[in-house]
Amino acid sequence: MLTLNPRSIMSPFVVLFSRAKVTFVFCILLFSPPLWAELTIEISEGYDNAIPIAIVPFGFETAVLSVAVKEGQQGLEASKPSESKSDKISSPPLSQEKAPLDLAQVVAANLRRSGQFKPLLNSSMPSYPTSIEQIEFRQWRPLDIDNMLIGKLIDQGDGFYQVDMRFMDVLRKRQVLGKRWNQVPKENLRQIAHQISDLIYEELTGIRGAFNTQIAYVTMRKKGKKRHYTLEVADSDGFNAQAILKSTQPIMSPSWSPDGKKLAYVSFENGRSEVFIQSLDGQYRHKVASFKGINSSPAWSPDGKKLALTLSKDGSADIYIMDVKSRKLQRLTKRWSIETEAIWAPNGQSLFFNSDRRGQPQVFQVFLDTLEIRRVSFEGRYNANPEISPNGRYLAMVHGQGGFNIGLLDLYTDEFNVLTDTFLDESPSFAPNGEMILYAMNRNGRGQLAVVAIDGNTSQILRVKNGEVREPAWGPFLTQQ
Amino acid sequence: MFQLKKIFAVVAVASLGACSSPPDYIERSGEPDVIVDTAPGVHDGLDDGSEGGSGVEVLPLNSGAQSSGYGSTENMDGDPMKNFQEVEMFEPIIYFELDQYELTDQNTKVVKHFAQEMLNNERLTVKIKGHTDERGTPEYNLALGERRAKSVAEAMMLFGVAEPRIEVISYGEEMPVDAESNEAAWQKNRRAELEIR
Repeated sequence: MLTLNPRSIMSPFVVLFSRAKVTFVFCILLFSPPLWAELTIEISEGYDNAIPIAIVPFGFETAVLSVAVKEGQQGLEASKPSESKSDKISSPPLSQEKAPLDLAQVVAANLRRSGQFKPLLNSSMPSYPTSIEQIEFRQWRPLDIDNMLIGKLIDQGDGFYQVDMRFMDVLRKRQVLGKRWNQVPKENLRQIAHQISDLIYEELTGIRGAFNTQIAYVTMRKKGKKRHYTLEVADSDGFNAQAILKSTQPIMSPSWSPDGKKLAYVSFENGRSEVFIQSLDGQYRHKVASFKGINSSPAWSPDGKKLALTLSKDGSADIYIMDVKSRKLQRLTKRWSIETEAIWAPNGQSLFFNSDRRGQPQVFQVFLDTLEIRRVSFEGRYNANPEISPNGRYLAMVHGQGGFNIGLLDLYTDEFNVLTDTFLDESPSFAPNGEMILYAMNRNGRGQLAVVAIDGNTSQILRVKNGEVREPAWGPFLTQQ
Repeated sequence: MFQLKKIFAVVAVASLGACSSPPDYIERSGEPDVIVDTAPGVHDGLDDGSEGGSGVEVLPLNSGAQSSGYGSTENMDGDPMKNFQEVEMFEPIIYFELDQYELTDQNTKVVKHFAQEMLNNERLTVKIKGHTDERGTPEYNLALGERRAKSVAEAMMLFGVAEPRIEVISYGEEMPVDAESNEAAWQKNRRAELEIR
């Protein structure tokens, strides 16, 4: 398991520069607030045939003796209002109140968000077993529950915990999965809950879960007349948000390195677009493209060695490939038209990009061995910002037909579908398991994020308080499989 | 079609005290004794100080700036408008239609006006900032904003301004003057701003 490094090693630094006769101070802060503004999640639709499942609140014990006495709240926020709103715990087991995190609630929220599961409300549970011996299987059958998760959280002292989980087949009365994590630091418990969610999701759907992943996005808040931008990284459920860059100038286009350890992005901190690479542990930050004209649209190659970029140093915006180590550039397109928003095919042998060489933006593909170019999108007058699914089958894009929505092209069948019906949809990004697409949209005049299943059947909205959120990018799997 | 209007900027010349005459012209650059706001709100919310003196605002002169140094009598009666001066000016902003970057005849006139100003003063340089509305993808809009700024730059060069005096920057859709999501706001946001200094 990859633990999230605390980012507190980063220290604030200040860039000073002058232009014309005016000297001014521009601050970029690389810093680590304990918790940044949480994204709030709202699930608008689910599948009709979502699978009922019981995610029983975990027991909580100290290594020495079990907590049996109810005590006052310890001030630890086990759950956020946003989650509890949709999942009210009316009668949690007594011991939960001392637990540093309600793991079951995180798991239940994840599964519900996928649209494919319907976790039983705690208040509807006949009992709260925390070990196999305590399960009375006959209690659960009338509730249509075929599968249930039970578990324990054990305080091992010094801020470390043991997590036990058992995933049960209620029909066959047997354990399907059992796993124990030892000496887990308190701040990583949420990651464990995401891993448990992934295990259950894969067990029941056959598809790898993508709950234990992260998303990056840009927020914009207005303070008086100034705009404040932050580049943030959060868990896939919007929790654990941390700012990795703050600026008073725009930040755009975060792109995850395939190992999930770096982000490339565009920052206007020097008054114009430039491309930077920053490691999430705060160890380094490099400006990699600062040519004359625009420097934008970074996209990592699947092997992490190259970066596709849009540069206009030689005239109009064209696609280039930069070798990250040597910074050597290869120019892929040479047109008077706009070529931008390149992304790599999963096999690394071609790139998809947006070009308006036919007058309006459409998606094209360029093959690296021959530099042959073919048009890919034909539906409608505006197709931009392509994004390929991890298996290479689907191409998501911003589809303009009156409004702007996320379209999905099946490259195997050439079938094209519009997935979303929100307003000003853009910046689609696939979950690493290819099941969901994260994108930016506008609602009530504010930029918000939304997630839609690739079959369009379920969606959810993520928003920040007092600000706008945009330019989302879903990160890769954090663990090897 | 958005009609670019000539803006009549009424500049208050607060000739308090001594009866000095108002200046013959308003200097748009150089020492900003008078800063003229030709388009209120254009920089609303954008300026963090990084634009130097471009944060446009109508300001009165310091009361001492035009004082002749002697006498402290103040004549407050009479028509207050007597001391105001009307100046005809072009707004240093070029507006574009959706997805367009070509200059209309009217826009060309505006560019010509500012090109002439630059030809009249060899010290001046211009920063042309291209912007788009929020529709369409951010990266495409960044390139479209550059295209708009470049078409203004090319027109400037046609009118004789040397290339080294021109800087082109695109902000794409990142810096709207109006953050609303409607046609009126989008119209204001599709623009190239000229910053001459």
